[in-house]
Amino acid sequence: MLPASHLAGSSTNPPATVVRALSTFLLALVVSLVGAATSHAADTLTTDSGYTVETGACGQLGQSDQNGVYYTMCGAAIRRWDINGTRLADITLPSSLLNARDVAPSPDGAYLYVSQGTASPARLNRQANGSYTLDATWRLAQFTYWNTKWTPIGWALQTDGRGDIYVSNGSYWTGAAVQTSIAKYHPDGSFVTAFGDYGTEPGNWIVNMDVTVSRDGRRVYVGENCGTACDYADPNYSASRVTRYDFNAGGTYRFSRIISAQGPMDGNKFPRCTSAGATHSSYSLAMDYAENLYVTSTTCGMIQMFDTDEDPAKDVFVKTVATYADPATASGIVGVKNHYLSVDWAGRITAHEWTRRFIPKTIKVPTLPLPALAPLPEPDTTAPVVSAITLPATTSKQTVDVTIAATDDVAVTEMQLAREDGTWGPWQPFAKTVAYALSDGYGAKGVYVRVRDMAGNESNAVYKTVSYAADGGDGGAAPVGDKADPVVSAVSVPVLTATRDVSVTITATDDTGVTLLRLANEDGNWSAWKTFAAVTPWQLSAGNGAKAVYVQVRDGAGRESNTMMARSSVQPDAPAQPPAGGAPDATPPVLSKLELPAETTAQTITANLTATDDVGVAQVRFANEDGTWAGWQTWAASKQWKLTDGYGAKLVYAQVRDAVGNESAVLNARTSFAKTAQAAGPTDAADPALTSVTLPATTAVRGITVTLAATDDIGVTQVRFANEDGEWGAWQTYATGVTQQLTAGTGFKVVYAQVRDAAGRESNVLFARTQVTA
Amino acid sequence: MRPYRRQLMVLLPLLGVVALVAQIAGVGTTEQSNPKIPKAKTLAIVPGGSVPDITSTTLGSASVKAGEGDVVRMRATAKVRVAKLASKQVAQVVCGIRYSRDGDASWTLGTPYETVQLTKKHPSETVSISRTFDAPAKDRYRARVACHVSAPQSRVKVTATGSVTTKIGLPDGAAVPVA
Repeated sequence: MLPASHLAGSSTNPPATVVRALSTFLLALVVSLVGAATSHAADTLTTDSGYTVETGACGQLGQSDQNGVYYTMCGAAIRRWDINGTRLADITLPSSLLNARDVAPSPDGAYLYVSQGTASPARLNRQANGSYTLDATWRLAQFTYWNTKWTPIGWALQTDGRGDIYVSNGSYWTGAAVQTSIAKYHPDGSFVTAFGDYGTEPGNWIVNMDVTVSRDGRRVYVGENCGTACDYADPNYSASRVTRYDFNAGGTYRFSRIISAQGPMDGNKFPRCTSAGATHSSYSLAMDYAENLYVTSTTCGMIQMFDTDEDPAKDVFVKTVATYADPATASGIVGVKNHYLSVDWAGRITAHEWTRRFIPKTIKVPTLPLPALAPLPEPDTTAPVVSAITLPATTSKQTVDVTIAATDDVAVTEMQLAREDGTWGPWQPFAKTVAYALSDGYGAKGVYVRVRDMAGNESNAVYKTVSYAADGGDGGAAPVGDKADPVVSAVSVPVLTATRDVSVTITATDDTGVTLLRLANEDGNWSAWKTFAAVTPWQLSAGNGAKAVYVQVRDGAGRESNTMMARSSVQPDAPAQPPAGGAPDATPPVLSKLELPAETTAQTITANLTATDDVGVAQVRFANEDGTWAGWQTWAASKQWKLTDGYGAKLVYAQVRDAVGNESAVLNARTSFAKTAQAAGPTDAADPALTSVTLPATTAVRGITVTLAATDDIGVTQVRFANEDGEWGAWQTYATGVTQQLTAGTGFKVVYAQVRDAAGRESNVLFARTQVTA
Repeated sequence: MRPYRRQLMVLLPLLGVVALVAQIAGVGTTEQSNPKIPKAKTLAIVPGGSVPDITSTTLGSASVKAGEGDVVRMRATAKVRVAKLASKQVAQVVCGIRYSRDGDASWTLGTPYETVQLTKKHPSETVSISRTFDAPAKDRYRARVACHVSAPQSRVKVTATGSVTTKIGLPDGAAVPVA
């Protein structure tokens, strides 16, 4: 026997969904009209002592917005109460919205989402005068589940405190072929995720009914009509499942547990009506602000209350709020049915068909405005950015204020500072301005700052300098007469060097005289201070490639200069260095001509070059058409160069540079590498072109005639073939029809062809297919 | 055999028995004869869970009272180990600090977390995470180090031990915030 609750819209295979829905509505309406004065003389409504009961209630499904205004669907109108339980004006549904059962508000109540059963939910928009009108453009997007696109429909929906929408898709038997997941949407109607589906396994349901969501959107509860089977006589019958899903960091939801009683209980094979926490036909469920969950046990004529918690394991059955017993049903498993309930924040329960409202004797409502909801735990992968740091340009005190401007998509939470030596201090909470002690000693100082967010994403580092100088008033260490730091104004090292040992030329000044200097390579490890000299020897770091040399000087008072850096590059083929002194050579040479022979029968050719430089051209280098430069070689106006293998047109690049590495522009020139010199007649200046290769479509024999078409400025002389293995055969005399042997076996075959001219210039490669049929 | 050797053969086993009894009785030669070794917990499997959340396994917790503007320092360590893994299988474990304040359940600055990969060749990893923040109000602040297995979803068992400490005050060497 089917549970009697199916009367309100039973069967997973409705013959006509719309008719079914309409009959459901009419039946519910009739029930609601007669419910209060039910003629069952022996029916008894038992209510928990913590409640008072009002009659004349009307409201199927609904919920509160984030101001505590409670909305519930009553026929063609939405009834409203404010957070204190004062009735507000009803909202009349547009006539185009028929048979709506559920209403879910946006957090501020500006939008009301209304279920339409077999049609997708609609949205009503609040107008300036407080009325609501149908939004003709808003709709929920289709969603893909198991590679099929579905349009969200169903009788039940819910919003969370962020405004996201949860549709119990296909709820209340909207159609046999409907997908039955909980589909989550953003307020703009964009799809977020879906979870749960039809099935007997935990986490699924046979028929999904109502859905309710915690305010933070992290807990979702779904009611089920039948358990694993709908018929009591079915050996697999179980009580209905109230299933909990929890938010999964990353945006999805995962099944946590079934909170309604399941399995053998109280000596029965499955929980009966009176078993603690049992629900039979959980048509509707709702939460109050304290996150108590109320569930209809419709078949039993009961309303069950659960206490829910962030921790799924702490969800517990609390009590039965009300029982409407119907002794006429002797089995004891059925009562006066109520399919629809909704609850406001204070826990006032509207039981639609019972036409009752259960009012808690102790009313507790939160104080508005509510605290903001914490963001759902999504992985934060965006690093913060330090846009600027501000320091004083000069200071006479070692501790300076550092002001930091930094932003992040979530929050800049920590920062880290370092002095000019780059050794980071500890991470500490981010502050826009901090007092920071510069390194000891007067002179140019540096401060690095970087920040990170709580997820650990680190920003860029920003570096600023400040001049730290003593003044007459603070008893600084500088001797009388020494008023200024020394200044390094120029540092030069060879731009190119074949060895690590270089000379560093330093220009530095001071009011009392520069006395010491120190140097560092790119690793920043300073040498010891040594006597200043305008030209000092230094050894670059090991290895070829780009190098850096840092220089700092000091005066007799111990005042330190700024730090200046110069770059060099160690290259084994670097030209000999010009003598030190004089103005730096910043003028690149000019390569004005590169001449190659028009045609050559030798792979190595003579390249004639013309180049000039203000100091002197030191080196030249070449590359063939692949652009890969050979090493630099000593400059000469005439150089030997080897072309690439194979006859044909060739391209040669050349470039020159001077002794300090200034490089010229690149020139190129062409030549023709020919097998045989053109003793007389026209010069062969072009490769031949193979324009077509034709094979018979099918062939019964391996030996076929290949039909060729090719052109050349002088004449095509030879051809060669390859089969699908790509192995070229020997060059043979060219003709428009040439025989080629295909590979063994039947099936599709490929023939490649290439031609060349008498000078050895080779053409492009073409291929054609044929099929050996026998 | 010389006589004293015979005596030794008797005395040495006796000495061993005495030492064993003393060890069982807790009469050790060091002060920590019974060190408290935290029991490893089997981590929850949270498919795709990219940051620690309520469903992650808590390995240790600590709390501290802080005044408004106090710097709270949290330091968490978790040692994770996978027992059995196929040669080409990789177990992905997410560890992090879940922190909160008693007075405002919605308060957060973001979630600190690290992701580690365990393989048959490298079956264990230690994750250390340190974070600081300015306490927004006088309150009790709680921190938990929590981990879970985010992949694969089955046939993997990862165990872990961990702890977290909470302290008040700027770390040594920090710059001083200017009001």
